[in-house]
Amino acid sequence: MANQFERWHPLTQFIYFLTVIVIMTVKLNPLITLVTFFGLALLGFLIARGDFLKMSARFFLPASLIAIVINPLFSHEGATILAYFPDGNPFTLESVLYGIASGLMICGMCFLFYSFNTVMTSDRIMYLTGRLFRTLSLIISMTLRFIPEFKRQLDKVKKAHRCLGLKQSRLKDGIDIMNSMIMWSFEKSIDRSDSMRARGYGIRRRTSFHIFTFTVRDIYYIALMLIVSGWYLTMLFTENIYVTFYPLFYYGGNLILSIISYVLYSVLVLLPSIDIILEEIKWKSLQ
Amino acid sequence: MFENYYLISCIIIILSFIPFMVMLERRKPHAREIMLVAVLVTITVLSRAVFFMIPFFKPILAFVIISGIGLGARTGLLVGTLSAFISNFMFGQGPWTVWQMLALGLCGFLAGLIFSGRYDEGKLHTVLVCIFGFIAAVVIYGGIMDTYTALLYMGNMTKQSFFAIYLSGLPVNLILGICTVLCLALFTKSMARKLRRVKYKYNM
Repeated sequence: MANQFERWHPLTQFIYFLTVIVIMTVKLNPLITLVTFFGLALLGFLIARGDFLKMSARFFLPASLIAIVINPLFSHEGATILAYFPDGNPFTLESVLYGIASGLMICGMCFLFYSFNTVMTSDRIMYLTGRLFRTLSLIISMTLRFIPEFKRQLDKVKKAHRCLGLKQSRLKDGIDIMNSMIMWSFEKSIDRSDSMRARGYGIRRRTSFHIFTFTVRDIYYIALMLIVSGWYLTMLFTENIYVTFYPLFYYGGNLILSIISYVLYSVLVLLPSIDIILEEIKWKSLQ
Repeated sequence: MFENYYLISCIIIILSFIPFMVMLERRKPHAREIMLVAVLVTITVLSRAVFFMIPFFKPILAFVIISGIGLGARTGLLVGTLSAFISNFMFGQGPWTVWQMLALGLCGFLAGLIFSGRYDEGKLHTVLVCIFGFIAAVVIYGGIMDTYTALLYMGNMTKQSFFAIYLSGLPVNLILGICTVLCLALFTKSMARKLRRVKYKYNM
């Protein structure tokens, strides 16, 4: 069943992912990465439950662990020396902190793309690209249509190949099948493009079918997200939020403005989760 | 102010795609050309499925290069970027998508630039194509993807850390290179002939 986040307009969803990834990566900030990490973990869990937990344990957390380990091994900057490596390079507190922060960021990025892949289905991406780049999105949609057809034909060719009793080496079989598939798809493509022309391709602007509606809610959400990201970037550039890792970990800037920024950013990250949870509560309370 | 080179590089890569996309829209390509590109992308994306029983056999790059040779640099770039994008519909988009698009697109583009003239004259040497394929796999594709890894994982960049990342990526890149050479040796001739036939038969 589609949840509230999946009912957002594709543009709103895209802007959500875009603003989060820009704010998260523009400057490594421990608090921002923490908020992103937990916010996106919650979102991933709400969207996919068990599958998300499985993927996190299997791929996302190990990937970020690698980042945590790698950084102190290669980065020897920083003033607080904890120990020395056998080759004489220092092992510093700052590089450990940086490693942890960047590991969390990478994990957050994995979470983000997990939600992205679940929510932004190909028709949504097509809808977004189709507005600006018509030919390109036409090619993408034709390819997406062609892939299952190609797979079906591939299956047929493989079976025919087996029925003929041709059992050579694996490579040789693959080559034969591939050659047959290539010729089949070229011929098919020419037939189809003639049919496209016969139906009037290129005469007028193309329209495409979609089921998305842009509601007032989307306007509010987009405005909120743009304001929050604009606010955060301004705070960053005016150095009201100021973080450095090297040579010493230093956290400065204007305290009150920073707190406001973090609260605003938390709202931005949690926006879809709040939407999903509120909907759930409403549904339960009405039953 | 900016310390994160990953974000900046991504933005630059995306901006560098825009001229080509606008060019494509302006040109208003013929239905046959669009269809042929779509088919080439399909073949490229699913070539992996044909050889699924052979482990580590990834022919994607080889088919991108052949498309570039057969149809020119512009189409090679298009086939490369789109196959990276669309194969990620199946395997999942991620922070690597943009970089794969750049790497594959560049390989297709260069293949078209170097070989498509010779192909049109009918003087295509499979050996040269294979050498190019190996360089493309190890240096261009491998180099770009390893740079992506380095930029994502490394906060501050030193010579050593980059060297270590490139070195650790080398085995994977060599496997891809060998695979690409094998595929090019097997398919360049036959697929070039098929493309020529299609182009000749349907007057493209």
